[in-house]
Amino acid sequence: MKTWLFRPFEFIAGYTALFIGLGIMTLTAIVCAAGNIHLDGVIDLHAGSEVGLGRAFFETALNWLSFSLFLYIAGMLTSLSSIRILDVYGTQALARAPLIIPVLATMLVDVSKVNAYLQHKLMNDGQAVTLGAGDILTLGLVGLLVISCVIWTIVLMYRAYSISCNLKGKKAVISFIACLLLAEGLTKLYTIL
Amino acid sequence: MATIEKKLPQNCPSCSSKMKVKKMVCPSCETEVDGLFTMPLLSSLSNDDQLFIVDFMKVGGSLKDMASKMKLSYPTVRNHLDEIIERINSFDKK
Repeated sequence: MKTWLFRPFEFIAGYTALFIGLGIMTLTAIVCAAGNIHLDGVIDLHAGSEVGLGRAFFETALNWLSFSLFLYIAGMLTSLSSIRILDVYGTQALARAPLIIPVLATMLVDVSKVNAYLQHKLMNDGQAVTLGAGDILTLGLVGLLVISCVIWTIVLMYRAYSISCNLKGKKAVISFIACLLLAEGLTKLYTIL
Repeated sequence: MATIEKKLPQNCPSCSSKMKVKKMVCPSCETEVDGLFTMPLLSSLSNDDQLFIVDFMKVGGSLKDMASKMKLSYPTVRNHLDEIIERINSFDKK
């Protein structure tokens, strides 16, 4: 069970991982559009402003494609094994699967109410809004779930990279972090532009 | 009583030098051959690694077929093979 949750790539890679991953990414993008949730970064998730279906798909695809490309290049430069691009993209697609959970969970939170509350509380702007115990509990639980799932996704992304590029130890960790920062920078740059 | 799987010793327990085969016996007629024979390189590998190589040969050296036989992903099997190659290379260096 633990292996399937954290090391599924020992059993699934290539086309199988790619098709399952693409299927879940498509669902995630649809839920993002329905719930106005932005995946504006490799491991970022923000709710609030309107997200069209096209934009939701674009953000999801950009995150996956750019990060996988950086990892593939890093793997080619550092690994002694012959790497298949299909394994890198396929396992990275599947590694993003847990993100559908926080995306669905965020839909349970009344984001506009929380935003209005924070805006009034922190910037003294807008109407005063009070959050009930239920709102705070939901917010706390969803927040916890979001953090857990993002960590789970990062672990899966690392394992996917490690197996698909046959890298371990310091070399794997350092190149993975570098790729994550580069891809995060690229996706953020897009958001700014 | 449980049967113990005997392992072929690779190095001398006394001086750690590489062992050689001194004697071979036919189990049916008990003919004995005495000499000094070098052990094959693959015998230095673990039983699991030797079985992997045999299975890999049986599927014609196809990693894809090997992955489906072992019910593992292609990169996992490729990584295993790379590790075995690395071990063989390290024996060569010794």
